[in-house]
Formats: sequence, C-alpha cells, structure tokens
Amino acid sequence: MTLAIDAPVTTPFFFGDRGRRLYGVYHPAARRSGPGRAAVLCNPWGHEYFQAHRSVRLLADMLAGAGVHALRFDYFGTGDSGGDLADGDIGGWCDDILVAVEELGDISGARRMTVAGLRMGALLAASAATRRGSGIAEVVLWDPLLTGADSVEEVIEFAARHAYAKLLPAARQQGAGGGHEVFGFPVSEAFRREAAALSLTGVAGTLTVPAHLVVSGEARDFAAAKDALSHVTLASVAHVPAAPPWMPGAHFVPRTVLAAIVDAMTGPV
Amino acid sequence: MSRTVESIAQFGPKRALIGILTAPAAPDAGSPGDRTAVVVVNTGITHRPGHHRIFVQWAREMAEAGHHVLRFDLSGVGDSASVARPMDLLSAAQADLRDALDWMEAAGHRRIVLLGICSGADQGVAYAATDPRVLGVVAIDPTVPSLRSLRLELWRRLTRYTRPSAARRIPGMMLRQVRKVGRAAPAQTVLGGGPLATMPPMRVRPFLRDVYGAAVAHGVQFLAVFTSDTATRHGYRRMFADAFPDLHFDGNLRLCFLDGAHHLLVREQDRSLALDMVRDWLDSAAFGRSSPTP
Repeated sequence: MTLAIDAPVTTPFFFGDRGRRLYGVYHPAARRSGPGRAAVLCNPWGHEYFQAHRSVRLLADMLAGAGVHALRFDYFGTGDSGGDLADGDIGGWCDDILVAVEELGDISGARRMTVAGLRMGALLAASAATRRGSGIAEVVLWDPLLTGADSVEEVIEFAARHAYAKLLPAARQQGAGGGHEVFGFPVSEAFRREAAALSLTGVAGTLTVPAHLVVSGEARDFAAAKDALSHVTLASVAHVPAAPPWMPGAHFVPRTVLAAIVDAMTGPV
Repeated sequence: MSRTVESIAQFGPKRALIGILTAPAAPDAGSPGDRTAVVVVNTGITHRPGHHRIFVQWAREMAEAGHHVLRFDLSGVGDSASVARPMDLLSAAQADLRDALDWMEAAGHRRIVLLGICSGADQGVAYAATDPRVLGVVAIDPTVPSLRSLRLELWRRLTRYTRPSAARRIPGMMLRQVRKVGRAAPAQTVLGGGPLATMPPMRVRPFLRDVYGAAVAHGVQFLAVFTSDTATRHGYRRMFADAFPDLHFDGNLRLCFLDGAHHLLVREQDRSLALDMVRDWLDSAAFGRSSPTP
C-alpha cells in the first residue's frame, strides 16, 4: 500500500565544526526564483522555541513552496545541536547564524540571503547582519523583542503566575554553571548580562541592510518596534494581529502572519 | 572530546519519520545489540528534544552508560512529515513505533525499552505487548484511572470558589466542574489525554488493563514514575494498585514517586532524579521476554 506523505521533502543534517555541531533542516525551493533566494530562520529562546517550532517549520515549508530555499537550525546548546543548555551565549549564537548562512549558500547556490528571526531570534538575526562580511542581504524581524532581557523577564513573570509555585527562579550551584534556573532553563549571570545588552534600538543603530518588520501583537507593540527601527531602512512593515505561537500552551500556527512574512521575502528586490 | 555520537535517523514510508540516534563513542562499548537500547516517544506534540530538552540530556547520559538511544518524531510532529495512514491516531502512532523498531533492528538492536512522559508513556504501554523486541517500558506519569486522583481533582476544583463575591454563582460553577470531571472520569483525562483521548471514556480502563496484562504476560518490565505537584496534579505511588486491583505485575513493575515534581519535570533537579531512577532500573531490571502462559 502506498501512503500519502503530506509535507515537502526536507533534509535534516548536522553542520558546523566538531566542537560546535549544529542541527539543521534544509527545505529546498520547490521552484527556482530569479537569481536564487534563500533564508535562514532563527528560533526564539527558551520555552518559546518549543512552542513556536511548528510555526517555524511551516514557515520554512511555505518559503520553499514560494521558491525560497530555507534552512532552520538549532543554536548551540539548544534543540538537537551539540552542547548543553547552559552552554548557550548570545555572541556564539550570532556566530552560529553566520555559519548557517554560509552552509545554506553552499548547498542551495542562492545568491540573495535573508535571515529571518522570531522574538529573540529577530534580535540575533539583526545582530548577525551587522557583522562585517556577513553575506546577509536583508533581515525579517518577526515580533522582535525590544531587548533580549524581555525574554528572560517574561518567563520569570509567567512562572510567578503559574499554579506550580516551585517554578520561580532558583539559584543554581556554581559547579553546575551558577546563575539561576528560570522556568527549567539555566540562565547564567553572563547570559543575563548579554541578553540585557541586546536591544532592538542598539542593533538598529548599526544595521545597514534593509529590514522587513512583521508584528502580530497589539498596535502598541507594532508602534514600539517601528520606533526602535526609525533609523533602519524598512523594506516593508506589516501588522497582522494573531495569537502568538510562542506562548505556553499555544497549539496553533498563525498562518496569516507566516503568509505576510513570505510575501515580504518574495517581493521585488 | 564528546563521549557520545549523534547521527540522523530517517525511516518509515518515504523516510518521512526523523530522529536522532545517540550512541556511545567509546570503541569498547561492544556490539550494538549487547545492551538494551532505548526508543523515546514524543510527549504530546512537543518535538523530540522534549520539554526543556530533557530527552537530549537523557539520551546523552544514557549513551555514556553504553545504551543506544533513538529520539524520533511521530508522524506530523516536529520534523517528521505527516503520513496519511488510514487508521485512528493511536494506531497510526503504533505503526510509527513499529517503523522505529524496524530501523533499530536493522542497526543491530533487538532489545528495546520504550520511554515516554504522559501521552508518550501511554503510547509505549499500548505498544509493548504487540512487539517481541520490547523488553521494557519507562512510563513517566502514564494515564492511570485512579478514583482517588479523581476525587482530589474534583475537590481542588470545587474549593476554588471561596471568594464571597462568587457566592451567588457557586452552585452553577460547581455543577460545571462536577460535569467536567465527570466527563473525564473514566479516562482520567483530568490528568492527561494524548492517544487515549480519542477513545470512548468507558473503554480506557479496560483497554489499559488489557494492554498492561498482555505485556506482563509476555514478561515486559515496567518502570512507572509518578509526579505530584499538589497544586495541579494528584499522582501518588500506589495509583496502579488502586486503578487495576485485579492486575498482578509480580516482579515486573517498579514504582517510583517524585513528590513535589511538576508533571513535565520542569526543574533541573527533578529531571536529574528521574534520570537516576531510569538508569538504575535499566541496570537492574531482569529483562527477558517470554511467550505468554496460555
């Protein structure tokens, strides 16, 4: 009996060097578009990564269907990549994005590279694009955080409201890396400092490539993100209200938001 | 240098199912089939790293102890494509599990332990009796239709309404809670759902009794770990005995209890304690499957 497979062909693989192996899934473009476009997708942090996984996968499928090669991958210390949760650091994750950009360029042959990120992933994508010789032509900022610290603070706030009182941040032993455990995730003091130093306004000050802004939150979130990007060349902006896919308990995919991202990335260059 | 090696596993119809095999890196680890291998089942729709990456950490630590561990996504979950099998969800997941064990067997592993949390545990329990390659199941918070848990859950819901302002609405609200718990009662879906949620509630207890009974008759070993955070969940160590008084596990069941642990083992220390329980059981359980006594 032949069974129908309801998804495009994808290729999971490991890349990067032996000391920093990264797991990624390549979604080849279903058809060729112009000079060849490709996109690296950057995940959010912590529990948001797990909640949003399905949406990021579907975005990759939709991009591939629209003629854009896509690579979604896990930062070091997250998902299926090498390293432990406590090994994660902001600077290293930006390096990982650049490694993913190079890898996707090699396997797809695409000449125009976009990096799209969700929440903290948006900050990381923009930050990576500011690196000299990044090869990134544009960024898509999907519900960007205003600062990296927001992600940590929002998790602490969520934990404080949770019926299970033991989710409040607890100190971790120095032998285990120190810092605090936030909703089950280790957060070192160094990570917290790095996250606090990462801001949309700060990154926008040095971003020289065009950005697409897609916001699904409230109007004030949209306005705040636009304000933070006032010195950036915005190739497109879209406010598409939808339920956030990264929230705990979210089991839905914001298809209208994904469609807006695909539209932004497949428009005229 | 890493003491484990991770590689991609793709199997099933058109290689639609995707997983990661974590293996010991040590050259003296012996042939693959020497030690019990572990296959991890998704917790609900959370993809294979598991909540807080629990299964990545566990797979690596079990591999350091010499076990090969496959974490894979069921059809339509995580990175696996959706395979349109003409059957219900539980049966489709069981078919995925068979594909995973076929892939493991091709890699030299015929001594398999299934491991899952919540709905993943239920999948393992439901599958265990059907495949002679399964020697054991680690079931963390599996569905166990215990009336005591149900009573505690009903009490928790009813005692929410203590504010004076709610007094006028109390009877209606209480009635709704009683109905909610009543609908869930036979399936104990107040404590879970997953693959059994698609089953008519009155069938759940007999179904579980049958699958546990058949597995034990085949000599399958069970490690059951229960959590209880008291605010939202009412697990306790002897749930099995209360729910299945006519089932005799004899020496085939080890019961462990993580008092105060969240259902998804959110805290690092609970994940670590649970892993210790799993490793100890893997090292000491008397694995060996037999034909059922007629």
